[in-house]
Amino acid sequence: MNIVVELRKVVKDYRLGQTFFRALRGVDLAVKDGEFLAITGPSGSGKSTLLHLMGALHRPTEGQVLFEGMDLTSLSPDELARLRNTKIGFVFQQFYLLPRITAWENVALPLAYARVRPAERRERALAALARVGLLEFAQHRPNQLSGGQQQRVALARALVHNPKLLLADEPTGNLDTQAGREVLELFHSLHKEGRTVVIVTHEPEIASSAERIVVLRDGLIQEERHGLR
Amino acid sequence: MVFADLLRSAFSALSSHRLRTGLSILGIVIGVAAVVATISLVSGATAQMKERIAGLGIRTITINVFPTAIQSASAARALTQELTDKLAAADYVSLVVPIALSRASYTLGTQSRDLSLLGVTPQYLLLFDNFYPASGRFIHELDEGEKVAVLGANVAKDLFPDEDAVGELLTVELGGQKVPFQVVGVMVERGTVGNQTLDDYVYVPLSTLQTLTGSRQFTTYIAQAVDAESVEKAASAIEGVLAATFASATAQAGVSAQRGGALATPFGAARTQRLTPYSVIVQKTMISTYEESVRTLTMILASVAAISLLVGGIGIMNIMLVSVVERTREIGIRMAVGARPRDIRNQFLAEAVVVCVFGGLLGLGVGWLAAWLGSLFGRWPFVISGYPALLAVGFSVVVGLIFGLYPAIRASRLDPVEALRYE
Repeated sequence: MNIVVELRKVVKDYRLGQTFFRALRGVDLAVKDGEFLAITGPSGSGKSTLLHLMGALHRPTEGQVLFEGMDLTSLSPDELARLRNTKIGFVFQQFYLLPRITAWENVALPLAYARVRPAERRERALAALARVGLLEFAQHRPNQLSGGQQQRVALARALVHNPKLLLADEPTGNLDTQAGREVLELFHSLHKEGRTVVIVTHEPEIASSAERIVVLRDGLIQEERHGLR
Repeated sequence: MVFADLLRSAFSALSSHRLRTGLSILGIVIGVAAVVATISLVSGATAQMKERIAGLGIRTITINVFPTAIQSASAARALTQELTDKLAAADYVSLVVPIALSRASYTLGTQSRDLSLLGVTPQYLLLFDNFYPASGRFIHELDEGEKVAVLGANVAKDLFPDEDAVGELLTVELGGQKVPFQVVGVMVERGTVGNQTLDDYVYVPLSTLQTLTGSRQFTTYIAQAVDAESVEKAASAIEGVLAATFASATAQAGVSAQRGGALATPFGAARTQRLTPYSVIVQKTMISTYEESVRTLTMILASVAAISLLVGGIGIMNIMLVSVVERTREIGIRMAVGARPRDIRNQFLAEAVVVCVFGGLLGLGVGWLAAWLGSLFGRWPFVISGYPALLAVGFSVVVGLIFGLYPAIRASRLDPVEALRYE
């Protein structure tokens, strides 16, 4: 199986005023094409940092992040942006939709940065909304949608440019059980369609629904095990 | 992001903070309006002054010829006629009118009044617009040698306050003898034109005056250039004629007819030194002096206006910095879905430029309105041209770019993850 993204001896420091906080202390991890991976662990263990590194939002302090064999440390900010724009889809705990624009416009946002023609953007955004079952809410603004619906709009936005890798940071963390289950179901059905999915979660139920589970503690991989699938 | 996207997102962002956007626009409106109004007002005032100065005879060249030897009255007359014809034939000269000024006095009751007798030919009237007899007539060809007079408006008011002066007899004392003049006309009020106070003269035929004063008076020739641009060339041509005419006299006097430093007069500068037996004075220096001072005034006013534009620009920068902080999360989201740093920078620049262009266009309107009102109060022409319009819009785009650039660059340099986490 091909490897989509691989971390080699990755160390990540954050600056906290005068001191540094070491979020990751040397992580080796490879995500295979078509895999459903869950990253779990207590808060502060470095889960989100790991996800951001995979998603080209960060560059490691030490070590390498290889995306389809390409070393991200050698890429310029513009090239990283292009990578995020074409190969990666993000879903966040707080949805992170732009409040002033409609659902379909939010979904179309990555396409605007990819310089897709406006007519095609709308078409593809509506198709992505249909995929998450929210076509009839295309003209709604985020504040007119429930939390579950907002997260599904965010998922449509992550899908609209047909990315290689879908990254989700606690996607059900702000949702009630029912809405959380629906969103998780969507991730699973997307995985079945062949997409590579990495989910960060601290909920054991969600973690165990993945193919492979990586447990982080204090910036190191503590344990790796198979999930239920 | 294509241009249309940038504009759309700028309008959407700006319309979500209407009051704030409105105030930012207002700052630019005031700055641009100040610039536009200043330029328009000054050019209106300048146009008016230029018109007035042109009325004062910008084309006029004054030539003074000093007597080189004692001449008989008939010789003086002959010289005057000969020189008038020669000067009129010079290049770029459209008209030459000889005049002579003589002091005389007049006794009114017990008081003695000074009078200025101006010897003129009928062509004198051609030198001025709107100068004609209010009653009676002006000096005529047939008056040559006759003792007739036409009064300037002030003289008539002074000497004949209650009656029409036409037909009256005006007896003046000239060179020790009493000379009676028949008043045949009174001129309209015309004010001062160049260095000539038209209302204060008593106009008499030139030949009459020359006969009465002999050759003691020097003669002045007033020449007119074909147009305002040719004044200098006409003056040079006139100098050529004069230099040729007076070459022998100058050589005799041992004086070179070299053109030297300008002899300043309140209304112009003598082009030749007084060492020559003639001087040529143009009015043009007056205009250039005037234009110089207008330019200085414009610079000062424009600097003040530019400062208010600067203040408006600082307002824009302030608001854009606040906006960047407020929208840190949005910047993070856009970066996460693939916005490059330059996309973020352009987005914020577009907002600043949209604000400034709006402010610029509104400011143009307000500025023109202010200039129009100013022109009503100042009674000068309202001058409107494309130049301040271009300047205003250009200025505001530049202000938007300059003051929007720093906040925009700050926005573009945010770290995506930190931006997303920003509360």
